[in-house]
Amino acid sequence: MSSLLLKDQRRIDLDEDGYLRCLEDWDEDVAAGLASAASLQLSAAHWEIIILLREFYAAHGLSPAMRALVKFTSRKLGPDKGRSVYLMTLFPGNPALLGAKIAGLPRPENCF
Amino acid sequence: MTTLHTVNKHSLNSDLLTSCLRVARGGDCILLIEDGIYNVRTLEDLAARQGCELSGLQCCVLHDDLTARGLAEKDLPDFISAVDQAGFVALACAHRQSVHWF
Amino acid sequence: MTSNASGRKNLTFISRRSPYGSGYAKACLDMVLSAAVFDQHVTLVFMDDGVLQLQPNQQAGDIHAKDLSAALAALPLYDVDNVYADRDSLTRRGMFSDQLAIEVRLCDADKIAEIIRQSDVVFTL
Repeated sequence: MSSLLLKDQRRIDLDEDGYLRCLEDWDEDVAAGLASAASLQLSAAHWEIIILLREFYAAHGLSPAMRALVKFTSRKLGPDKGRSVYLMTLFPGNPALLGAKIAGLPRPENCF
Repeated sequence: MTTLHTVNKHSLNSDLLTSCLRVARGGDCILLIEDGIYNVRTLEDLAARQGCELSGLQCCVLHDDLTARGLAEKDLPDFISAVDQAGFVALACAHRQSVHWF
Repeated sequence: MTSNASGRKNLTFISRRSPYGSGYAKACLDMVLSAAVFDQHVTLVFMDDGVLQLQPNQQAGDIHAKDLSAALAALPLYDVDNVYADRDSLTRRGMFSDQLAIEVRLCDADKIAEIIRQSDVVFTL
């Protein structure tokens, strides 16, 4: 089983894809640790999306696929941010997968 | 643009056949399989009660599911015919889509 | 409404089971969302016990389940806009079309028959 070691020496269990085994483990330090494991330094812009992802999960019980994340972001933060290009600059590669990981959500089911 | 419907339960303990008859339209085929076989005795009554015109539909049973349950082709009403596995495949190919009521 | 050269198919899902008695309702929604992610033309029809998924105020946490109606509310975010509920199934279960968990279009048997005929593939579960 893999795990994440935080600066305060807390050890957080991760699954084989690097997602939290126990969603309750998540807090801001865990998010920063998960981001840093992906070579990301979290900015205010990242946090805005992380909070949005958690809001989506709280509302629907799902980790959003890219399409839903873009639409939800557009609805909440406006069309400038609700674009895959914008999300890609924050969470390179696959924003739905990486964003969900850092936001402490389960791996999105409909993403590869 | 017709549809093959398969039904695999008896109408006395499921609403499958009722739902199937509601949306089946002229040219469609209803194939009774597994426990759907037992509908052979009640299909006509059920359709009549629903105001469903069976004459525009093709009604079949899967032969081996019929005989396995102690019934034979001679027990079938005139409007129901038996098909074998190859006939099942032929029906699936003859219709645009299949809807499985299970 | 028929499939075209882009590889987009008309996929129809007829969801006809209650939300928590089995895994079918959740499986149906998962298939719908996956099909939408792959940019297919998706139609979702709630029929028979499937309309029970539309009951408002579900507190699924009380039975340690995930709230299926909350997940259904995400359908518009996946651009699944062709969502129908069979009026007759609602009526027979004492449900009112103006008191449902999500917005749906009401339909009758003729409309469902038409949807089936315009589909490339139909899934009932």
